[in-house]
Amino acid sequence: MSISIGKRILLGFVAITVVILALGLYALDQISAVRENMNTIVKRDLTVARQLDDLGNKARDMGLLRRNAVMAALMRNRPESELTQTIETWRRIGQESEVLFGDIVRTANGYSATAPSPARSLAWKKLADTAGLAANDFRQLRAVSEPQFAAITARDTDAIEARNEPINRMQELLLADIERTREALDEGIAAGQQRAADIYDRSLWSIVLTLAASVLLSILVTALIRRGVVKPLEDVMRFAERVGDGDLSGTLDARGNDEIGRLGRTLNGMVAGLADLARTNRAATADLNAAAAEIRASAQEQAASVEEQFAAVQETAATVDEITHSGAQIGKRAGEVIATAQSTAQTSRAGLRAVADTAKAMEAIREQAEAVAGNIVAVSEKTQAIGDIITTVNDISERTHLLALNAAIEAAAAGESGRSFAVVASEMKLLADQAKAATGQVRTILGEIQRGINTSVMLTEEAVKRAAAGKARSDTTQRTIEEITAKVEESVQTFQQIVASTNQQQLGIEQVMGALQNIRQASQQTAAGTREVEAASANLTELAQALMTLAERYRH
Amino acid sequence: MNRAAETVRRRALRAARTLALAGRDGGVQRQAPLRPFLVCTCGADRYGLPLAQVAQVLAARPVTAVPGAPAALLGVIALSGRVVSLLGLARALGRADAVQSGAGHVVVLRGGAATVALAVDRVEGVVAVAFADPDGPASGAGLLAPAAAGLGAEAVSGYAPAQAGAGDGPGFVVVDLPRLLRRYLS
Repeated sequence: MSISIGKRILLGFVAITVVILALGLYALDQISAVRENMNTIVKRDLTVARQLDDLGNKARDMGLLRRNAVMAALMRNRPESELTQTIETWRRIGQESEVLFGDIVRTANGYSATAPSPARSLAWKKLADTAGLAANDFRQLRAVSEPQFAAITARDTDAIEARNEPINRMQELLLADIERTREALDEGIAAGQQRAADIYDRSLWSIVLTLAASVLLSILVTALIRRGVVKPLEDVMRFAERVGDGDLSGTLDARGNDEIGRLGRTLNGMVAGLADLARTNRAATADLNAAAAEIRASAQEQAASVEEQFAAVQETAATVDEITHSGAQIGKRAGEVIATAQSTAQTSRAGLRAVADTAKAMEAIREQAEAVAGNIVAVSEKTQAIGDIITTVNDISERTHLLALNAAIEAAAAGESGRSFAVVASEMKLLADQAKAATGQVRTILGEIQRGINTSVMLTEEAVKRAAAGKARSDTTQRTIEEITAKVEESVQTFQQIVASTNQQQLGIEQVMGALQNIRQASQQTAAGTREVEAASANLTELAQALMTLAERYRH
Repeated sequence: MNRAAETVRRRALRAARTLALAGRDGGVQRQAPLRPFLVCTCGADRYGLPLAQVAQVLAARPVTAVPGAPAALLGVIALSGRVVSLLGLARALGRADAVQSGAGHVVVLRGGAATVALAVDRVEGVVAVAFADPDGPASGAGLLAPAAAGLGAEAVSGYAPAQAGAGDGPGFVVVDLPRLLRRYLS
């Protein structure tokens, strides 16, 4: 299968041409055979027919000459010379007919030997035999006629009349023989026609078969060419259609070394290149799309920021304007503040004196509180002594209690005589109990007093501490007020500097106003430019998306 | 101020004493059969001891422990040259012992084969209670039988409700001392 398509087509064409050429040559050969055959048949038949015609004419002429001689002899008025001439003519013609018969038989025998078909050979053979028979009859006729001629010469009428009848019969026989020979010739002609028809039929069939074979061969060659050329071409065409539809994923099965194989390999290479291109194109388009979107977003952001910037510049201009106004006010207020600060400095000096008095008072309070604390401590020591006394009293009351009980017991033991003593004992016990209750109350009160003293001691200590703290704070306040006074004086100087600075600031702000005007114009121009950039980036984005759509067509 | 409050308090004390003295005479005349009891406290419980069986009341003093003695016998004490057994009243009655030795009071009993002292938390005082008829129905004001008072202890001979006392403090349980001591003296 590695023969190239051109060679294949050429091979098929050559095969068909060769077949057609052979067919034509064969047909020509057959035609020439038919023509030669016909020529032979016509030439031979015509020769024999002409000879037979001559023979028939000569036989008839001989009959007429003999009849004329008989009539002349019978009429008796005819000269002798005329009779002799007639008989001589008859004899000459008879000689010629004899030769003719020999020619016919020889020719027929020769033709029989060289006849192209057995039928013709047979026909020629028969013709030769018939002609041989006719020659015999003719020789008998001549032999019979010679005596009559002798009679004629002798003017023997009876002999003439006597001979007349068998000669006529012989004459009829000869004519019939010649007629049979003619029929044999006709049979030969028919055989020749049959032969020609046979040759024609054979040629016809063979040509038709060869034609059919060449048609089959042509169909085979066409089918082979179709199989070898058209089918792979259709595969290639389908592949090309798929590629045209945008499917770059497939490859063509390109085997073999012929044109289709080379075409397939070339197409595969081309499709691979296309797929690579489409991939690169797609990636590039995606990048382009992303970049366009980023540009657009940046442009929008820039537009927004330019708007903001513009608004900010406007605000700044307004603010600067306000600053100009407020600068003037600052100057005015600073003058007022200077006056106020000077009066404040005076007031703070008065405050300083008051704070010094407060510190002294605090010190006095602290000393008194310390004295109070000492007194309270002394009282507390006294209450301790009271507690000891109460303990003693309690002990005494307890003993009294037991004593009263023992008394009651003794009284009970004494019986009736101890009844009044029991009353005294009971009274004693009651007193003891009351004394104990009283000591309990005193103890309670004393506890409260001690708690109060403790609280007082703590409160007094707290008071001392607070007084000390107050003193410290007064001192702090004094220092603070001194600092305030110093700072107020500084402030006066500072405000004087502020007034001077404000005047310079006013001049600077006027310059700033001019600069802001320039900035505003510049930002307006920038905004217009940014809008153009945004529109251009929108167009770019649309373009990139259209490109993406185009690139999406190609699958790979 | 302090002085004025003290004056008021003293006045109130005097008035209460006068009232108590006046009331006592009336009570004595009104109630004929009375029995005096020495009321002691052990923890939250109050016990009454028949005054006739009590010899002396003392403050607590050092106790010498006796080895091998019952749980109720705290030890022995020296009293006027004699050795006296000291019983914990609460322990003897099967109650929880609340007081620690060395504090509280000691009640010395009289009569019996040996002298016995009872350790109590505190001796409150002497209370005379109407001695009710054991056969008669419970009057509600006199001494109640143990069964009537819901008590089943052997050593308890009765219960004096609050109304039957001298008017100060709640009621007390009357202890049958001979029956109580029989356990330890036999």
